[in-house]
Formats: sequence, C-alpha cells, structure tokens
Amino acid sequence: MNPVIRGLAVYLFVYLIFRILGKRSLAEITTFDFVLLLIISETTTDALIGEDYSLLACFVMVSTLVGIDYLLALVKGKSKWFQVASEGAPLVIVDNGKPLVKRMEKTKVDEEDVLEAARLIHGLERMDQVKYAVLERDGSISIIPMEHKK
Amino acid sequence: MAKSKKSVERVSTDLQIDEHIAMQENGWKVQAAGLFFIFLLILAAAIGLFGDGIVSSEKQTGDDIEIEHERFYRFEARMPLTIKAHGQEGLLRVSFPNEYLERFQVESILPEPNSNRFESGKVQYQFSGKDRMNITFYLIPRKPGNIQSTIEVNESRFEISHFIFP
Repeated sequence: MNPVIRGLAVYLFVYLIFRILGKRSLAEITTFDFVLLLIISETTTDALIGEDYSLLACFVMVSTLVGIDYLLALVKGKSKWFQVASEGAPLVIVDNGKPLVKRMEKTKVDEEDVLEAARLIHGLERMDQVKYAVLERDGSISIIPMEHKK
Repeated sequence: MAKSKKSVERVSTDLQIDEHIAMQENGWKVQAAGLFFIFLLILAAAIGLFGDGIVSSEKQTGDDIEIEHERFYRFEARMPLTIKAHGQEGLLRVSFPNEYLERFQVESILPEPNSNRFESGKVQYQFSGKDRMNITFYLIPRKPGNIQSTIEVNESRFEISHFIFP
C-alpha cells in the first residue's frame, strides 16, 4: 500500500481512538498504561512500515505524519469549531467546593482525582477549599482555591 | 441548574473560559458512538470477519479432497490455504490460475512440491505421496478487494473466493 495512505490512515485512526477515549485517557498514566502505550506504538509501527525498511520509506512516513499534524494544527488555528471538536474545551467540574457530578461522570473524573490535584498543586485538604476545578483540554485538572481558606 | 436529566449542570463562574457546553455534549455522544464501534470492531475481529475465525474459515470437499481457505483476510498478512487428500496415490496436482497468483504471492509451500510448471494459463504444482496428504500454501495477498477463482486438485475443481481487507 502507498506509504502516504498508510500513514494517513494510521494517524487518523489513532487520533480518533484517543479522541473517543476522552481527555483523561493520557493525562494520568499508570505503569500498565505505559506498557500498553508501548505495545500500541509497536503495533502501529508494523502497520506503518509493513515490509518496506528503506530509508526513503522512513522519510516519506515521517513527513506524512508531521505534515498531517501540521495541517490539522493549521485548521485548528483557523476554525474554532474544529479546535473544540477535535480537542474539546475546558470544563468546570467543581464550582465553589461543590463537585458537578454529571460533568464528572461524562468526563470520567472522580472526586479523588480533583482532591489529588488540589493536594499536589496547592496543598489543599478538603473539597470545600476548592473554589473551582477545571478539566483542561489536555486532560489535566487545574485548581483555583477559595481565597479566604488559602 | 440542570436543564434536563441527561444534560450536565449549567454554571456561571468568574473564570475567563468558554466551555462550549453544547459542543462538548455532542462530543460525548460521538464518544459513546465511537466506543460502540470500537467494541463492534473487536467483536467482528473475534468472530473472524477479518480472517482467522469461524465466519472466515471455509471448507470444501470433493472426491476425497478437502480444501480449507479463508473467506476474509487482510492485505499483506500470511494466509494459509490447506489441501487435504485422502486415499490418493501417486501424483497430486494442484493448479492455480495465473490471475489468482497475480493477486497472491506464494510465500511458502509445505511440504515443497516435486515440481511446478505453467500450463495453459495456470501454474501447476505436483506432489507425490500416498494415503493422507496435507499440503499448506502460505499466500500473501498483494491487493485488497474481492477475488474469485477456481483451484483444481487432480480432477476436482473448487470455486473459492476471498475478500481482502486493506
């Protein structure tokens, strides 16, 4: 198969898979997730290269992957709709110490994740010390503490 | 306050962010549909819709000869085609039309044939032995798509078809 089509197909498939899995899929990876990622990369490499181990095929494949990534970044820059559709948008998951349960369910985030981020970033002890928790586009959780309880 | 049972909470904050809630809700629906398709793909692969499974495996018999092949397979993957002959003695001739071999590369044959030759648009492999003979051709699909062909084993003809996924 043509290496450009091969690269395009693999890129789009991997892109779709991680978009379907949601923001949190790669934000916090366990040891097993890391091993799984290595297996995925190994499998993808085989599908990308096939039997063609030539230097030129490698150049074409790398250029295809970088090229499509650049094109997608370009489209994201031009179209807000495409950017939100492909990357999502930040989402408030705790409002004035109150967890927004439905939002957390939809994004597969639980209170423990929020508390962990609150402890790590600000050394907070309880949920009522969190003014806002925001699930960012990259899957990380940012915490804004209550001002009077800092 | 939630608008309905299914939609998420609406909040008003002093944060300078645009949540695009309607789009995020659509995104979650697409994610759910995507997950459904992932599991559908896994199920289809498990039952052999892409080869190596009960849906794909086909067996034909005729005149003490049995041929096992895959109805579905994958581009550039090693596909077995097995011929089992019972009670045959002497030469076993297996012929593939040229058109078939244009679509498949014969990677290996187990056991190796005594000889092979071209004969009126076909490639004929000859094996010798007696009683039970099991011959496996390992074929590599060179093009995706559908292919129908006739394989001849001695006087028996077998109509086989494959669909090769890209």
